[in-house]
Amino acid sequence: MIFDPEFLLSALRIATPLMIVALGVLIAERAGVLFLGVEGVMLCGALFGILGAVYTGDPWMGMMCGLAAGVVAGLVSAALIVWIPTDQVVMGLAMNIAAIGVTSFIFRVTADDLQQMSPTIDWTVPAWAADNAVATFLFSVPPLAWLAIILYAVAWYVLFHSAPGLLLRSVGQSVKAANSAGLNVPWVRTVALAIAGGLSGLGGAALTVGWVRSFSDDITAGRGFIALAAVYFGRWYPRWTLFGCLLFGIGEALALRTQVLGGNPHLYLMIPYVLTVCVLAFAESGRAPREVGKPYEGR
Amino acid sequence: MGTFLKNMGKRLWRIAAGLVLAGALAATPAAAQDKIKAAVIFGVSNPASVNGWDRGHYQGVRKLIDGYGWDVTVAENVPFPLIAGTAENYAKAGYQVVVFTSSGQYKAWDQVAPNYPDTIFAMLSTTSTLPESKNVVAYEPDFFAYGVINGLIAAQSTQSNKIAGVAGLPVKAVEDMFSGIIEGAKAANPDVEFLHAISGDWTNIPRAREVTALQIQRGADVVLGNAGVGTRGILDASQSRKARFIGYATDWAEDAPDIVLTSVILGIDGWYDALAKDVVAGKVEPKIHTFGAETFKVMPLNDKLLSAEQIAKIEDSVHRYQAGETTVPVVPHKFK
Repeated sequence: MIFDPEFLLSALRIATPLMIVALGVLIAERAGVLFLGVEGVMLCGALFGILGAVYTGDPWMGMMCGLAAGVVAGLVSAALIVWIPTDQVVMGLAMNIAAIGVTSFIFRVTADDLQQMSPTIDWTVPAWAADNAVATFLFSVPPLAWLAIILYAVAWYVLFHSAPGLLLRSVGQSVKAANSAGLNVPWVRTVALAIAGGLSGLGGAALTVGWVRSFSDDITAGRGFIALAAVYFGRWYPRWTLFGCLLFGIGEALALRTQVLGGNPHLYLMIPYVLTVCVLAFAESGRAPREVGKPYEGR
Repeated sequence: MGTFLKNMGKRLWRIAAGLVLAGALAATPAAAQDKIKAAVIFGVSNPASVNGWDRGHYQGVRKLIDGYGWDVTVAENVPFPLIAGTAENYAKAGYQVVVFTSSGQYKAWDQVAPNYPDTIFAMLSTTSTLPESKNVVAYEPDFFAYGVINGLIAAQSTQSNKIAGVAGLPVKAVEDMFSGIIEGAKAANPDVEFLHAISGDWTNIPRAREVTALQIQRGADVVLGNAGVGTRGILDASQSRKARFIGYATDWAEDAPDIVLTSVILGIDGWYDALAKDVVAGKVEPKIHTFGAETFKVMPLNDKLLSAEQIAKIEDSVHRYQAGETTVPVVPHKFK
């Protein structure tokens, strides 16, 4: 009952928003920007995603709204920490606090419309696959989890096997070298933050529209920071970041499912956090992109 | 001369207008003073949007404002460590009544009430003891009886003989309610098995969703939820897996009409009604007022999910329990 296909599906449902958000963080940090405001951007995506889904009646439109809100929040972050530039840590924390206030306010204004659950994403196992256990399992995987996996494959290819990826990574490693090569560092970082914001917003929408179909104040509950930790755990590489997110999903699913064994539920609820601490403690230390957290003042 | 008289006339008008305004302003505080000033402290934010316990309390707040004309201030999203300070501030500001909406706020109630004898501190939640002070009162439901009614309905609606209860934390109210469900279900159908799960807090919708999904996977086809904000997750899991849901505290029919069997209304606004009447009559005394089975209301059962015969049977069993014609032994169970 604890370890069965449903356990893996539960872990995937839990990990999916983290996977998408962590990819956004990875891209921002590869471009040399400390994306500490990810929690706030995710929260904005979560709210605007559900609003879009409820008002249009289409969950996919909701996902697009979440993504758009994330892009806007990413561009605001870029204006503040790339173009002004302000301290990346302070501004990231300020973004998170502001997002809690803004989303709570908008939630109150629209509360009557959000009483109902948002529409479900229409994704069922086709009749021809119903008799095959493997096919049934693959079709039971949430579509957003598939999307996340595809995004990771694309990100890996673009970052490490294409010219734009090299350009982005070079900005994160050494702005002096990038400048010497004639790269426009602020614009590269702005584009990176727009993509990072979009992915974080999409991750927020994956939480509210793709998973629980409702919103509450501060619904992200630190998931943005967990995604951030997954990027550090993954040493800024897509495949290890993906693995970190899946590991947290597995830990959380395990914590919820081991309750069937009886005993104190709080003991089991510690599992994902203990697991995270253990993995971080024993994981090989990686080297962050050199320019992360440093304001670019070379204009 | 003409100009002088004209100016004097204007001045007189201004003085007269000023006097009228001053009179109005002076009268306003007197009118406001007639109103009873009350503060209600919530642990969650936006309680009106949180169906279940908190919306029930919000309906009570509306009753104080609309029904009794009280001047009510609502404090939302107050974390447990700040509740005592919040209550104290209201007492210092001259509020006549301070309402606590959760048994988790007991410590603050106990700490603050004795220091402010001119303010009434009311607990509108489960409590077995009162602070040592004359200005306290409690209005609480009999959660065991509430659970029995839920158990009677669930046991006669299940097809798999498995019913599930999901809660935020295993607090006393939850333990009483779950104990009632077990005993009520047993009274109606001895073959019923009760599965339970704890999501770990009152706000985590995703967690509540996942633990509910597990109970449904284990075979439960009727789900009861008491997880605060997280109850939305319980409803979502039930809806996505076509399990039936019994609404907690307030009416849930509109949230998911396709799966909500019924809702068992706690009648929290009735507790506010009782508080208002006691305050107005000056009859507040240190006492725990318990609202029993007869005060709970079962909303119309869903005739698309249950046959007419089932509905009649359930209604009869609930009615007989509420009327005291059948008794269910009070057996406490532990869920830790």
